[in-house]
Amino acid sequence: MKKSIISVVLVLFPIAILLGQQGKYQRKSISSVESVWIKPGALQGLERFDYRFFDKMVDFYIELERFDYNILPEPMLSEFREQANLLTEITPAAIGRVLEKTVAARILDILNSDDVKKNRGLALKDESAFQSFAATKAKSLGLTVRELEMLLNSAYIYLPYISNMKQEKEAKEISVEIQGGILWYQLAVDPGGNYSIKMLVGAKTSGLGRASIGAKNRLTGKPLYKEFKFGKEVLKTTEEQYAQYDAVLAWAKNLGVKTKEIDAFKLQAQIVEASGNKYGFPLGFSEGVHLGDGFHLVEFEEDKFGNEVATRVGFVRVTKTGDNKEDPTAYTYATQLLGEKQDIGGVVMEHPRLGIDARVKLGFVTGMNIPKKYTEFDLVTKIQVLDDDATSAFGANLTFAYNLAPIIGVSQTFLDLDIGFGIPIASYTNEAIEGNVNAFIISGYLGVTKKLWFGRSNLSIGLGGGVDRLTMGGELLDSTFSYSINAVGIKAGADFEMLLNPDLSLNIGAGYKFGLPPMSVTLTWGNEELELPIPLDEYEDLKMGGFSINIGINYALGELPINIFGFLDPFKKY
Amino acid sequence: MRKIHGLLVLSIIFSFLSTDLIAQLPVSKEATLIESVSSAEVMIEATGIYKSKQKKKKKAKKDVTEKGVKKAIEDARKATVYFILFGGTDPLITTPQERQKFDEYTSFFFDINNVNTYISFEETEFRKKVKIDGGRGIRVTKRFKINKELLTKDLEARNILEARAELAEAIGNPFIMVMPAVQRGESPIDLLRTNPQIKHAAAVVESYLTARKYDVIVPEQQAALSDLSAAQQSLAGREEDYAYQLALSIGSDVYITFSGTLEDAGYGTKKYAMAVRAYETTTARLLGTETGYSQGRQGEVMVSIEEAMNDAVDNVLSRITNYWKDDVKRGIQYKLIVNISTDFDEDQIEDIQFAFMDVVEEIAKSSKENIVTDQTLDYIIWCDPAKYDKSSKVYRKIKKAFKDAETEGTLRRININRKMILLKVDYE
Repeated sequence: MKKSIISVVLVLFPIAILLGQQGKYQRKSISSVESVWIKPGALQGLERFDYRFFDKMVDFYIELERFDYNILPEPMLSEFREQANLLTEITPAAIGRVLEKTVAARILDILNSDDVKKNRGLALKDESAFQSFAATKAKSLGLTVRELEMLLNSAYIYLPYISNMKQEKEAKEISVEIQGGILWYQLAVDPGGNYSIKMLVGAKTSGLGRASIGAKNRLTGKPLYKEFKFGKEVLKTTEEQYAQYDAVLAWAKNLGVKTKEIDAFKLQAQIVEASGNKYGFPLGFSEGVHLGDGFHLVEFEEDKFGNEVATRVGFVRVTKTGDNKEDPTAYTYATQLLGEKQDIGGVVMEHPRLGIDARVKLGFVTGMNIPKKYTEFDLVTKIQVLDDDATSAFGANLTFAYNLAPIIGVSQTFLDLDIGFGIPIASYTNEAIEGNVNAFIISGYLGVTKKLWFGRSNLSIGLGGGVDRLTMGGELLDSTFSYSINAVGIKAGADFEMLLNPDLSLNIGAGYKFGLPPMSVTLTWGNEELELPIPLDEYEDLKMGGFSINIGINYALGELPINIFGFLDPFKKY
Repeated sequence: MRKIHGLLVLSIIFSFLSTDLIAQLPVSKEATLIESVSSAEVMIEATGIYKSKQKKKKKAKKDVTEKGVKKAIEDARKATVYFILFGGTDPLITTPQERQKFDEYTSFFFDINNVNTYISFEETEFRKKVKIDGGRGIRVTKRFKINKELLTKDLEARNILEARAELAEAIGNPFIMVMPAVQRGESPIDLLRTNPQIKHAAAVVESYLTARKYDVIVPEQQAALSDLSAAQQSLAGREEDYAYQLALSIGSDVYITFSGTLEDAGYGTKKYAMAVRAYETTTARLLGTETGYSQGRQGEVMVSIEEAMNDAVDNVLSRITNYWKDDVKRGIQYKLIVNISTDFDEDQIEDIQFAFMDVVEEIAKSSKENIVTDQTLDYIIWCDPAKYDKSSKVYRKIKKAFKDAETEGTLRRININRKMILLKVDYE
């Protein structure tokens, strides 16, 4: 069973050979040319492209803790930009040649400087080198040729690019879509000191941002899109800027995951402690490991031709991050969720994800009460939508669950943004059918879920609050309309979830939503929306909550074109 | 019928014993010397293998998962000991006799508790860990630091190796002289005085030798050579070999020469390549030569020299030890050179030569005739240490025997040191 579920990937594995020690991440150094390559004609409809914010996002999501950073002097960067701008045909290869001419020599100088050798070189030394150092009365801790080769060939340059960025405005809605990616180049240095720039890999993704002009928070009355928050930083924006920032953040965050997915940059380590299904390995805050991060368990096997191939044999999740900034010997500990138990010497290899899960659930709700009399409203003519009282509904929910564990230090705790859609089970009146009028419930909830794991399964307990909206809508007099009754609700639920593979799990659960009496009615006619307060006792016995059972899936996202809870990312500290 | 039963029982006992012995030996026997960390310890990268004995694949895989790593590590540890004992260019166990003696103690030396006592350091992480035979086995590679000196002492304690202390008690440790190899006409002593790198390399060897309790002679007095000049004519073809002359004049048993160069190792680094040669002083016979290399480094030349020298000298020393063990069995070795004056006629010369040959036959357990000319007799003689533990005793015996032979010549000494007896016969 396990075999059929765990994805087994065979990879001809050159990493161990290159590094000398199996499953060891060697720090890489990266340089940025502090620029973004925007393809000619790529920017459409934008008043101004905000380079500062773009650089801020790229710095945050691309310049990860696992990298050392080589700062290039401004004159050199200007030279790169000048020469790149002179290119008649801009291709990754042509840019690589410009990098080779302009910045490669400087990077080599940086790598050859005493400070870099002293600081980064130490990380390249293995355990036996330190042993020899101690045994030989600390005579030398200088870099050997093998270590220098690793140091000089572990420098990379990245260049983000935008292939298309389009801003559209429809009525009050502004949307910005960005498409682009990142090019990674490697500085290759041979023993003779000759260097070249090689294109390593390219990754592309997209981001989408939205804002509504003049939109305000219904509770506070403050404008919704005049401030863009990122951690503790608050940036004053226009709605256009907000949409742009939103898109850029989503795009950069996706690229961060794609960067981590590049083989050369993937964190990996050997298991040095193994106790039951708990493993300790030498990675931690210095490499940007966070609580809840997933790692594949990798085993090397000799095939019939004598080649060593890496096989994924399991999956673990970080339960305690090692503070190796304070104590270099601190280990990160992880609990095994999938696969057979491993012993020391097994390898953990990073499985980068966004830290956001998408859950889709289908369910059935009972115990609700939507009397047919409340589905009657008077617009041009009086219409009653339901012919029966509805006491149950079919429903579907889409939840984006942001892993709060790296922020609060409590593992497997999620902040949920839940969008629900329900169809009351009741027959429609003839006039509703003729007028093509439908009744449905839309919900928006914010909540918290805590998952308690046992083996590959978990019990997740969730709590949330939000708004349910019974909407009846259709077309009347050539114009769309909707009549909605809004009510606040509180819900709690529990799910049993089983991991099918590192990303996908199946869940089955039950919950109860306590629906409060409706607070308001919203009438939309065409593009006009009118919110009407209603007396509390008018819909007194209308309840959109009830007991629900559901089945669904949970998927750990590696890419998401929209920004959800991105402002929380800078708070990650566990 | 009883005989058959007896044979059966014996063969069963034998098969159990041999199985036990085989079980003690490492499965892998794969190891590589990484570096000689000090005169006592070496860093070795060894591979250990564990193969499950379970026949069913599922059970075998489970078995490997449960205890494969532990068993493979133990096998790797044993492989390091095996390597030092039998592997590489200069193992500790070299002769069939030593091997035969060792076999009696195989279970002791490869008992994992004992093996662990030799390991002074083991890397936490693996160099490699690979499943083999479709998961029925596992192979791990790790680095270990082994106390070779402790292992050697254990071998000596069980008389598998002849203890150096016992050898020393019998005839003393070999005197070893260390000097740089030089070009013709160059003085190694000048080089030692003026070149800090050469001096450092010599110091590393001397440190190695003294740590292993060899007697080391440092040639710093050029004057020591002066006495030899009178005999230079007899050292046919070797008059330009400064090291040889120095060793002879000082009276070392063995002399070591070394030479080294810095080579480009790429990425702006230099590695030091060291060649170390050991010679038998009396004959200038090459006992062993070995090259050692440092890792490529930027700067830190002295560290590279030390690393390259450590790499080379360990093997050369084991060859010196083997030579010494063989040689002492023949007795104490002396070089005997006699210069015969040109004033003698042919018959007189022959009388003198015969007198000397008789003396050599009388005092030496064995001898080797190097040169016999009208003016020169050059012998290597091996004498009983109980009678002739000093060269002066040999000289006195020769002098007395020569006088008793009543030849026309008078025997006088030119120079006598602990290794060489340089004599002349003058016409009265």
